[in-house]
Amino acid sequence: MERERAVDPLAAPMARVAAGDRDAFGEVYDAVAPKVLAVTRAVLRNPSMAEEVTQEVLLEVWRQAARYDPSAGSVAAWATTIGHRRAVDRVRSVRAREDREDRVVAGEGRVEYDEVSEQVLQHEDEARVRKALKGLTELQREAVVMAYWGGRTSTEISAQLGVPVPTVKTRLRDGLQRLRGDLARGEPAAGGAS
Amino acid sequence: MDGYDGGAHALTPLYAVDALEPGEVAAAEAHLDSCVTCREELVEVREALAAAVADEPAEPSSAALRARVMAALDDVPQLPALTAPSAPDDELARRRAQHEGADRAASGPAPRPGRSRGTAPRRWVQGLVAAAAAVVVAGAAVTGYAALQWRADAQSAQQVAQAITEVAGAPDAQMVDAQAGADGWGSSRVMVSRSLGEAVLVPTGVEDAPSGRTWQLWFVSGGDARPAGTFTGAGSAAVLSGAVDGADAVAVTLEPAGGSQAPTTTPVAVYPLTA
Ligand SMILES: [Zn+2]
Repeated sequence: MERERAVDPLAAPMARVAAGDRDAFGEVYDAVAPKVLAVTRAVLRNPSMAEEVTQEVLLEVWRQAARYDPSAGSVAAWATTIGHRRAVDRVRSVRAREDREDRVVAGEGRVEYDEVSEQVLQHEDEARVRKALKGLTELQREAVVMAYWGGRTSTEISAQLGVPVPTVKTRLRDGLQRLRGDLARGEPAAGGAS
Repeated sequence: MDGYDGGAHALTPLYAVDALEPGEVAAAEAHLDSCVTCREELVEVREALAAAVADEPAEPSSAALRARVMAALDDVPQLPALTAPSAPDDELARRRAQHEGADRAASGPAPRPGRSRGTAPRRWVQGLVAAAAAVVVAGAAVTGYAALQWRADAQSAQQVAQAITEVAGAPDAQMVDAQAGADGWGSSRVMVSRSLGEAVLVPTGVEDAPSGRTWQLWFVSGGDARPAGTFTGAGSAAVLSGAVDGADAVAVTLEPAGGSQAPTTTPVAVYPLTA
């Protein structure tokens, strides 16, 4: 509980956004949109869909600005969280539709999706993600990357890796705890504002 | 260890990466509502994940996307702040906000600042009150400032957060810009509610006080400056000690460590208060 986090540089502009200030929104946009775009691209593997979701997310930031609660995280983390959630929702509904279609046509889109999804780290900026996750074991990193960057549930990861669900959950939990600890200790996380 | 049995706590890390099965999400959120440890974990894991996401490099399409979003603002009305999270009408919205990642922190008991009372006249005090400029009455919109402080020392952070939330939620809440802001103080603000008698300094952009010195807060009334507490760190909001009462302004000076009974230097920032 002794950790101290930096003041969010976006806190002040965000308060102005809450009062309808468009210039301030521009500032917030420039700071968070590249991150939201990165996370939605990683999950969706489709640049135009990622742009669509990013647009939705930034408009949501505008709409909900007065309800943003700094105690629940930085503005960047808030926007990234919304972006991840929406990208995941969308990819899962696409996948569910493909699954239904699979019963008719033997899984075309599905196979393609899996192939791409397995290369998450090749598509994402591999070096930076690896650096951010360098404190994790290889197995933890694999689980975290598949879950967060790949947008997969623990059950899906379990099926893909051929390991039991509880094992996947353990790797995820331990990996995320490690990542959280690294950030709290101020270890260099990749990413951030470039 | 392969056996994974952390009970309901165990859902939190998976919730943080959106890796739960649809049927598990409600249980995770119900648990988060009641478990402060998990809420803290969620905030920190999300922060760590966001930090690990590399910014997407700008592309030719980036400017077009930005333009589309800016143009769409006209069609997206902004929602009012949620000032009473426990009110039934707001509960749904609150849950939805939480679903979107805006989980609210637990609120501890509100601190009741003691009423310290030293007074000391200073010449600069008279002049600055006359300079009172526009005071931004932000009303409900300032709730976004709630808990702006980031000190993870949970107890005091929660108390500060609680005080800030209270002030921000007051119908007469005002957000006051620094008027005589010295270097680094131009973006700082004071949020004040006369009905509650409380004021909070939001030291955005402010540096730590030099070693051996401290920033000191003052309530200024007429020709008097009343000590309202000291703070050294730039990182967190400070609740002013003492009541606002009839103060005309809040001021900040740099003082020797431990603070002074009366200001010994020219203020680095002044926040004029409306009557
Ligand atoms: Zn818990």
